[in-house]
Amino acid sequence: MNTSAHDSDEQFLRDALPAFISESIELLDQIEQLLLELETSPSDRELLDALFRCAHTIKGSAGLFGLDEIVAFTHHVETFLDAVREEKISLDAHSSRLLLSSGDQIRRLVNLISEAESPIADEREALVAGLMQAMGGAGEDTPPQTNAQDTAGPVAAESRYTIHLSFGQDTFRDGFDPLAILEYLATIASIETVSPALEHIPMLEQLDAEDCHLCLEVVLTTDQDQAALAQAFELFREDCDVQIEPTPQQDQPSAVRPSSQPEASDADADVVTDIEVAARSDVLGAPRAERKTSGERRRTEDATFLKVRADRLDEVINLLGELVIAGAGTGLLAQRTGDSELIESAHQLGRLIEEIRNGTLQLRMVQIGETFGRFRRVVHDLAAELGKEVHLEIVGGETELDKSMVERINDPLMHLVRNALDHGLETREQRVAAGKPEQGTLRIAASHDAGGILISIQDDGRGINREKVLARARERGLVAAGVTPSDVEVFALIFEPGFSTAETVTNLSGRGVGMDVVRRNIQSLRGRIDIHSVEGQGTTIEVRLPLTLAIIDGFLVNVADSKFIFPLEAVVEVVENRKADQELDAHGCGVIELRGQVLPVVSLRTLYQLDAPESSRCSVVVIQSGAKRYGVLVDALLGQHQTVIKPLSRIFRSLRGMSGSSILGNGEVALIFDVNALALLAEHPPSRLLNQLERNPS
Amino acid sequence: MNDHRTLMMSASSVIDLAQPPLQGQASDYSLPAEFGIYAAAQTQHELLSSLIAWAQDSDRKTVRINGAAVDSLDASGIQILMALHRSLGERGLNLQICDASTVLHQGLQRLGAHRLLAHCL
Repeated sequence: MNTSAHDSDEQFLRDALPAFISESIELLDQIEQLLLELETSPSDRELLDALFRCAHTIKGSAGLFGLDEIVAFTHHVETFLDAVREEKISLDAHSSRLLLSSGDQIRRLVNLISEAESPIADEREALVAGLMQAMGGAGEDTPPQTNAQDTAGPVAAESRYTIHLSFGQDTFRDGFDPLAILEYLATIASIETVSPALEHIPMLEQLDAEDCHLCLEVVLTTDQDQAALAQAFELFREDCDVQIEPTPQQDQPSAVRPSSQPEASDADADVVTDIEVAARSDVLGAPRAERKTSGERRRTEDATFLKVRADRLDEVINLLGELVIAGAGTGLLAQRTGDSELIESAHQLGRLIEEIRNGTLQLRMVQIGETFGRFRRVVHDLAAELGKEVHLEIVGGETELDKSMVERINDPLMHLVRNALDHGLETREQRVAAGKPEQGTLRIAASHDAGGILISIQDDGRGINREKVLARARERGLVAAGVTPSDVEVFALIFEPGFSTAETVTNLSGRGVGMDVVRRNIQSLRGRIDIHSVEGQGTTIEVRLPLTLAIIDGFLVNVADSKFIFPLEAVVEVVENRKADQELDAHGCGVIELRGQVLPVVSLRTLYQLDAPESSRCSVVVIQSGAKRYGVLVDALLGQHQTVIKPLSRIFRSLRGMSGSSILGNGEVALIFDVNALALLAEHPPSRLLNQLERNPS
Repeated sequence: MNDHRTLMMSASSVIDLAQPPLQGQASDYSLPAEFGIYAAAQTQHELLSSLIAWAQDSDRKTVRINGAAVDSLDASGIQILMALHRSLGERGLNLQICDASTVLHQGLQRLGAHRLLAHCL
């Protein structure tokens, strides 16, 4: 290989390294999930095979990049898993913990790729020793090296093998070249003959030049063992059927058996030696039919999914936001001309932009199940640490929401899950004493709810002691003496900074640090969090989130000279051009009668002290916020509006009841309401909140 | 030829290994410099166009493919030569690959297809 080709290869590997890291992390996530699933179905062969394949792929890919530490350590994991598959050892709780820790170790090694020296060698050695001990010597072997020169090792007796290679149709399309495999083989073995099966190549008229029809029979001698030889084909396992057969020195090579031909007959099978069976198992990792299915599935998935860099998608979403604003401007200008054709054309443009908007935002939607899946490990580890028996139920993992939302909701949810385990669920003894099943249940569920998403974390633990919370709140001056707040108000006190009723502070929770951050994080996502609890029966924490943070359907209103936007999903109904005869207090709060029902209302003009003369008529926007409804008094209803959400600048962040801003087609800025915060504001106007703050400055 | 080779080539016409090289004759088609997956479809298309004419030429016994220009290739290129070999065999024509570049020669040898070259090297 010349210098420029070598440099080019090195450059290729450097460029491909981020993809290796990303894929390895995905595989490690899969390993974790599979291990946790195996805890409940320890004899599930498919899960075991999938687990083995994940470890095998990480090792194979790491070898390609010369990542010796990962290869060496993963090899021990793989050997252990192989011993489990061969039923030499069983996958008990101890083994499972070892494997989970080994997965963590590989993850750390992957994260440490860029560092010259790994600081976790001791820990790794301890894990290897643990795996060896758990195997009791079964399947003990030495880790492989990553290149041909290293694999040579001590001189061993040479063996002769016949390798049947039957390449899949998509081999070329998947970027593999059988020539390259043979070139690699030549570095670890002495190739005697390569025989292509010409009869399997179609005639030129029938050939699709990008399909691969090659079947080869390779006879070689090598000092490598069969497993090391099998390594050469690891990367091609989905694209190539490989059979390695030890061949006596004097033996004539047998014919190629292409994948299209039936398997050996029973009579043939009788003469297959144990070594061959083991070799096939090593090479193929799974029965042939199963591998084919897996390969087909992968190809189907490849055709169905396309990986796109998140920053490129973000760029498209940002541009889309600008397009929505420009589209609105065009519509406005068209209206001003009065030209019906131009107006119709602008409408058509608007409709198309809306469709593009919906389609593009859909691209960012991901299932929340992956996030939920991570909690399995947390629950597994914490339950063991706390000595509690916990059954985790995950419901609605297929529910989709915006990717950025999923990333930002992970930490708050994790905190809530840890809290539920630490404080919510009792120990086995406490549960038995309370007449409950020994095993507690933690249920994490997601569903669509009123245009948003509802995530609930429910435990059947001890519940919240209302009186204890209230007493602590009174101690801290959060609730005035003589006031009896509702359950919801009492439970909401848990989110106050520094509030904790835990008698013991553990390393998990109990310091009162965190729940206020959880609420703040959720509110920053335009979401809300509610607690429902029955003492002795359990607690349910409900987190409501909007589906997206980028663009929403809004409802535009006008008050004085200002424009405001409500999320359309929160608008229940509107009453237009009503006589402004309602009585309001100094904070703009009052009630009106709507179809015989009393509806609390808030006047934006009074609440925000907007400078403009009172109008004799007004309109009411009826808003749904959780279980509550309230009306907002505005001057004019301007209708539905595609709203690109822009964050509020620093000086406006203290503005209560607002979640963001948006630029209208004419360049004006409209403020977007956070309907939950506005509901609170309507109930507790600023002066009352101010008084409360004065009482409790912290 | 051993039993194994006979089995390998049983479905195709057997190359006349006894035929001496035809030095100094013009080739019928020249392979591209980049004879891999990216050029495979184009090369196949060009060969198919010529195949009809070659088959209609009743005096023709051999098709000579010049491989001098090949400076990179992969298995898809060699597969095309194998497919051409089969198609020509069906029509009673022999394939000869002449002036194979080192790259082409090594590729054919590695894939065990060098027997196609046996009589033209």
